[in-house]
Amino acid sequence: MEQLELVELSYSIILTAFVFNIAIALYGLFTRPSLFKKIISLILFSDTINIIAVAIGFRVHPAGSIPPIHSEIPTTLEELVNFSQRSVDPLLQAFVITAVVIGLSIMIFLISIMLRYHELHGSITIENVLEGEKTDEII
Amino acid sequence: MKTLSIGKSDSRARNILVAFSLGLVAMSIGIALHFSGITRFQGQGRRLAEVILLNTYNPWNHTMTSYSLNAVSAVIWDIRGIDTILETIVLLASIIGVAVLFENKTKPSIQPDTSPIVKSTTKTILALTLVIALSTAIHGHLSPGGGFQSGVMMTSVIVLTFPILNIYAYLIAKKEELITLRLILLGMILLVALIPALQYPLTGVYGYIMQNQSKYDSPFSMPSWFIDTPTAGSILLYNFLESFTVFIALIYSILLIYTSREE
Repeated sequence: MEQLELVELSYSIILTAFVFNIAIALYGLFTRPSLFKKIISLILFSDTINIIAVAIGFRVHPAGSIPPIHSEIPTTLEELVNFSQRSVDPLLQAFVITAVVIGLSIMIFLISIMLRYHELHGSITIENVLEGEKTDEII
Repeated sequence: MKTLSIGKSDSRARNILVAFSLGLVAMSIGIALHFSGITRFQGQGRRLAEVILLNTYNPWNHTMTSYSLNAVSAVIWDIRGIDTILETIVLLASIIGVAVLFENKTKPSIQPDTSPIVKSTTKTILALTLVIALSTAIHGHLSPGGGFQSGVMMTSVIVLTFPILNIYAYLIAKKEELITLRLILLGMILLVALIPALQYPLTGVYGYIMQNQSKYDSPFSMPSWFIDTPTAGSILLYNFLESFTVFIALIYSILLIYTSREE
């Protein structure tokens, strides 16, 4: 088997593992009653998507792939063309940084809401909170 | 009367069904991804990526280059800079939300009581990490790193010193000033974005908002070299300011959450 085929096969396996990771995260999000576990599942979900985005930007070059950073200041146009042909996609990496910052903002806010929820209801489990609300209505 | 609550056996059956369905979906997507060709590498990269990589540092194409050796920094702060500024504003919106949720919680912490050896060692590590974090921000256009990474490094090291040094009590006392400083830093980022347009009355040279290097119809450019090192124009300034912006946003949120747990 050629080297490229081996790389493609391992890439397929890794991507499939990521997709299963998404499935596990969604399972946690749908079925776990604890808000904390839901938030962990959401973090797992978004991180997996980010890794997939970075992985999609990868590419193979016969001379070897390189990160999208010039190791030295290019002095000729040939060096520049060589760099652009060997480097992995920088656009997806930039998207992921943005996604991480936005994700972080959302997570900070969600965790704060969860803490306030705990202060008000004494629990972060949805079922307990719903039962508590039902009791309040009866009272 | 039948209640809405689900029994344990029902809940278990539902969970198994959800797990089975998700497994099936994951398997289908995995097979689809493999046969769609996304995993088949071509010798050629994406055209857009190649254009960006060709021009991130390209002294032979003055109107397209950013003079940044790090292509990711060039994308973040030059090619799609407005998006990044809005992302910083989203982070501000998030911490304002946290501030509203925990507005009345200002109880100071107990003074940490640790040995002088631990304290002096922690201070050394803190100083070293802060220097590395700053260099990550300032070198963001030359090597892997940038403003966000630097801000996260600074926050992490300071939060880790909370149980040892008295930084927490100091920061919680300056809580309001932190928000003001955060707004000032955001204003400075916006000011850097507006420099190309604001300099017009002084120099008479047209410039676009967030313009970094000269364009085909505007000769204005931010300084791209400092002695013998590329500065990538405004990217250096953005990375530096962004590092403190992220640091303050994160440290403020963590301070409030930390106070909440103490109570």
